[in-house]
Amino acid sequence: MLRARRCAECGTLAVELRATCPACGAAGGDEVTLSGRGRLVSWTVIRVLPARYMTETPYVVGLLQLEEGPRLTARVAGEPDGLAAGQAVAFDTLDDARGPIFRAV
Amino acid sequence: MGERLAAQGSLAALLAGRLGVTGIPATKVEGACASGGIALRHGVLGIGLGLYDFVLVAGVEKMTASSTPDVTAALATAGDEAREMRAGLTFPGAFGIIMREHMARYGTTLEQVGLVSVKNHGLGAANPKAQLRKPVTLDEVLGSRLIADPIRLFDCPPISDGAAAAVLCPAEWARDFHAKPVKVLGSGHATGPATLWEMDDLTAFPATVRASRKAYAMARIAPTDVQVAEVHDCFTIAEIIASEDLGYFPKGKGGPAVEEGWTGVDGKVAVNPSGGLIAKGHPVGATGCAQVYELVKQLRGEGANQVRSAEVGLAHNLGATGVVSTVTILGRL
Repeated sequence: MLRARRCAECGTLAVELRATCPACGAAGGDEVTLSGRGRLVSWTVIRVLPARYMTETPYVVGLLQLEEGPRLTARVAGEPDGLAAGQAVAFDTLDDARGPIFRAV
Repeated sequence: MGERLAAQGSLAALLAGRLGVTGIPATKVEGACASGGIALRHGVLGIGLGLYDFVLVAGVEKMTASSTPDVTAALATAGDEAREMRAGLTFPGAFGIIMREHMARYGTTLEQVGLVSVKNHGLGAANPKAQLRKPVTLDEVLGSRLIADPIRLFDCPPISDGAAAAVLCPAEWARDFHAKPVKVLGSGHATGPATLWEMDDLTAFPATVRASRKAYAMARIAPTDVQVAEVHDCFTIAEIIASEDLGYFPKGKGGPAVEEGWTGVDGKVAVNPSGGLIAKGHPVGATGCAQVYELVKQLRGEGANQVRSAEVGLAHNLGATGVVSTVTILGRL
């Protein structure tokens, strides 16, 4: 499940579950569950890997627009071939190190 | 990145010691790839406030002794680890995402972006201070290996070692020390979003826009008054975006401008006559100072690819994906 926090003051939905709202700084707000659905805005295929992920094969990192509004930068699992702007994506798993991982649908 | 790649911190005080001036204040300034520009800005502030008679602003980086994965990881620390980079994003990757959006939105072509590399490698070939001194063809650029799609090897600067420095003093004293002194006409420094997802527009860096508007206002000039600019081409697409953000071309027209030759040495504004980061090299902490070195040479009429009647020069330094930027405008005194 992909969670977000809805600010009690300004209503901003933030994928970061921290104590204060990133938009207005207010404390308080409820955790909500997002649909996990969104669209690919733009993406890259990381082929020269950073040291910590050296053992992986080239992977996709995308800028995603979630259905409920927030944007985030996340892994998109699977083959990069055939990806296109506007491609539908869905939340797949939450990785401790890499954060939320999506897949094309 | 000295702590991480060269296991050496305290660079400012160490430098004072090596120069035999221990006792004076010395400070290391950090702002990712914009460190040199920010250091210069602080030197200018120190002189302007009358706190110091002379300031030495020096930038240095030693990167070639480290492996590419280690350098890639060290550079990535300039991003927002908890909110973006942990996904495995790298800076070539971030600019790949930005480049794809610029292409989609404005019709910027791979050829236009690649021509930035052709131009800068060509200019670097004539600059004795450049790291890469061999011209490349568009076919070689477009056929070089992918680093982070659509960014290819020749869209990137090399991994570099380098250093550069500037000596600042009050303008009224400058002629006592050099026959062709150069004056700081304007200085701007601004911050912007740390992540791609916080950018309202992936194809513009608000920090560059803000810093440049401050610098133009202080210098009392318009973008069209600048004949030569050393801009932060950490990737080819970054030069195109900088040429738009700095006000030389409308948003989305930076690609065609390269194709038309408007950013060449004889163009509307000569962009990166030194060869830029792409050919001159990008020793990260030194880059902002190296840009100023190249502009000072241009304004003295001693540039490697001399721009005719260069009277006003602009240095644009960018940290990460626009989290910080400085713009310095220089003119003949």
